[in-house]
Amino acid sequence: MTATLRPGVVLSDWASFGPGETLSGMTAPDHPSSPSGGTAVIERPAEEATVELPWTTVVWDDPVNLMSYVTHVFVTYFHYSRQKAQRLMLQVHNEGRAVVSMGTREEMERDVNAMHQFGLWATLGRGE
Amino acid sequence: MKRFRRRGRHFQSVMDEFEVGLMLSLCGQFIDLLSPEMSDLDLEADEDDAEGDPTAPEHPQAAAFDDLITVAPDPAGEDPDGDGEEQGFDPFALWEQELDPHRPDAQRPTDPVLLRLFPDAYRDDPAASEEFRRYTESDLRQRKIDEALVVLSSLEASERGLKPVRVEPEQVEPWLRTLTALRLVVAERLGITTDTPDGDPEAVLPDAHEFMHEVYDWLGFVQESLLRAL
Repeated sequence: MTATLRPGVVLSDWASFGPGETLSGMTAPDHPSSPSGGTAVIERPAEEATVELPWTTVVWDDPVNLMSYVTHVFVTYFHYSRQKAQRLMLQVHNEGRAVVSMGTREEMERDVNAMHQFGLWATLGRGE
Repeated sequence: MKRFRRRGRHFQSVMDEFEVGLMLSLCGQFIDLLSPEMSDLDLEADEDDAEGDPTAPEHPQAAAFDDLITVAPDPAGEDPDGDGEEQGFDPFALWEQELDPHRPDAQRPTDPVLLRLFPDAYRDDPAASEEFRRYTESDLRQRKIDEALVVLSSLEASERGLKPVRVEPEQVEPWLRTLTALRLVVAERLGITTDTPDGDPEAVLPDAHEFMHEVYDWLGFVQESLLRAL
């Protein structure tokens, strides 16, 4: 069963989570000091907390979205540097997909939801 | 249309009457597409369109465009809300529907346009995607509608292009996201895919295809110019 999305988390709160709270980069998914991060960690079932592969958000290439817009989204939402955002955008463009964030399943669902709001085609899954 | 420029804290562009009317129409249709149960609002928006776009009859291509967004290839895709519409406006029924996580509109859309706006969150897990959709799609829909309304209000404030179209700093993201959504909708109707980047001529009425493509490119220009002005 996959009842990981609680209305309290996603329906009302995702926009209020600063992207910096959910992600400070690909390597640091945990933020014990953040109230939201702390809650998410506590609520994780134990067996899912110890996983081989982390959850990731993947953005897929599409023929519609402007490259400048995709870069803008990565800078605005993830607070990535322009350089990193551009590299990820080019990866999406050239390779058809790019992992844009890593973290808990809740965090990735929040990121995917945000990407959908921006009009990007994104999915979450384990590993790459 | 003149490209967006920064003016102090806000951004502005000059659009002519036809461009403002076209974009008002697109936003109105987009809102219709996402809120089939809000028939009262639709009627109001249509009246505004009729008043606000006297050039429409002189532009048969634009008139032809009026239905392109809202007409889905598979009408069943928009039908889940049909029941509510037939019963008329009942706020309690609406709230009940909003609060019901198993409401029919949380089902996977069959209209490819809606599926592009609300894609599956999990690539290989339909059950998880359905669960995700159940808890997010209604909210996502509402956000897209609210943001399109922000764009509508900026356009209306231009008084059919007599004044510059003014975008306040807090309206930039709603504008960018709505422009994206409109381009996604038009692209889907044009059959623009990775394999057919110029569109599938069979996808929409052939005589409207060229005009629609111009609209698609124009929306891209508007978006690019706003992005560059930031």
